[in-house]
Amino acid sequence: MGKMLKFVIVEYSDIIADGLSTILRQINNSFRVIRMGQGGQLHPYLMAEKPDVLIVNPLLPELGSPQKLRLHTELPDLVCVAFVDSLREQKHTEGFDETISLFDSRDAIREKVERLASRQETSEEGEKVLSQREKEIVALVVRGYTNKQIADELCISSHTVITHRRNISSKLQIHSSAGLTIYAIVNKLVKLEDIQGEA
Amino acid sequence: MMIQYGPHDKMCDLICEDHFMLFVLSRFGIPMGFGDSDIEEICKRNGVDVKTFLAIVNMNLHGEGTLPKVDKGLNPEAIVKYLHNSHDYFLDYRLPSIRARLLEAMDGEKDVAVVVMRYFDEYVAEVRNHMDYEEKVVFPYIRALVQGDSGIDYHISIFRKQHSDIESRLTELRDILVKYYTGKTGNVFNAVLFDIFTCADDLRQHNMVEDCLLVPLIELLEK
Repeated sequence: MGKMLKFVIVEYSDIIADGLSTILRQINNSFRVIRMGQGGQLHPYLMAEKPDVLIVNPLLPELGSPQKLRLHTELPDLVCVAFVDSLREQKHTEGFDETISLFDSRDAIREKVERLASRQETSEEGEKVLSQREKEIVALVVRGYTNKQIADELCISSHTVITHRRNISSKLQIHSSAGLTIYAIVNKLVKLEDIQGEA
Repeated sequence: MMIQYGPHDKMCDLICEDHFMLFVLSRFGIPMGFGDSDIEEICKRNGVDVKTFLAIVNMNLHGEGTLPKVDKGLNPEAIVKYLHNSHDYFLDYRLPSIRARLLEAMDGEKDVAVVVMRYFDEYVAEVRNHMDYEEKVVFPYIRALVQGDSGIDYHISIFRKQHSDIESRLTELRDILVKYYTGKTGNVFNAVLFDIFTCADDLRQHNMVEDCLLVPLIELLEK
């Protein structure tokens, strides 16, 4: 797990809150785990702390649904985890991303948290897709156009072309034009006959 | 704590700890079937300098973390022979076999196959250039130096400055296939991808022997 996640625990029992934070830190010691104190107000607290993950008793009166919570706190990506014990039935956990039970083993909790963390990472990967403009530039690069020719074709400055190319390299982690060609063919940005004869 | 292998450890323990050492053995021309003999015995039987063998083995086992102590007890000719054999291995066997399997894996994906093979062939040509230079310039210089002939106008520092990494374009291909290849995959495709992973690691270790063992040793001998 590459990312340092920030957790907020909202739980009245000291035993449960301390136990949970100990286990989370054992899973990954770069996790930040904080707990909302007694008498704290949920919405303002979350808006100030901006956690990645909220672990909360689903019966907490001021909670409402996770959907509404995300909306009100302006935290659209907040991962909501319900903490349940045997008395709190599963039916209250609708809309939550995950459920952790009082009786889950350490390994079960680890598995759940790692799954959530990797989901966080994939959603960040998603931002690495190329923009339409960048795709046009890839298509021209693999056809063998120089930066100057690309600039003329798209009516932008050579400097802008270079910036685009740098962003493309860093998004795709492809640094050679032969590598870019494979990417362009696989993603159907160009046809093979467009690039025949080009290096 | 990391284990450093010594002359009296069993050869079979070494191979079982890290099967990558099979590559090292074959480049020293050491055949299998060592029973319970120790490393020194096996090396002697096969005419291999045991100190050099252990330096390469221990470096490959532990990576860049623990570089070996380089001193004049190492045998430069043994290192050159090892590197020469691994050049042959990569150029005549490993890379051609990956090429053949890549072609087989992408059967039916004509357009992608064309550009992937073009990429691969460019890469192999680059590796060939890189290794040719070592075979034609660096190794003859070292052999002459060892034999006391200082007539060749060369210096190992030239090599140290211009020696580039050799596996980065192969890892780029690997990453492109892993991240972006959407064509047909299956056992052959996975097998060739696995080969590419292993080969890239192997090439990196090969380069490390040149940079961290050969170059410092020759610098000592030049003094």
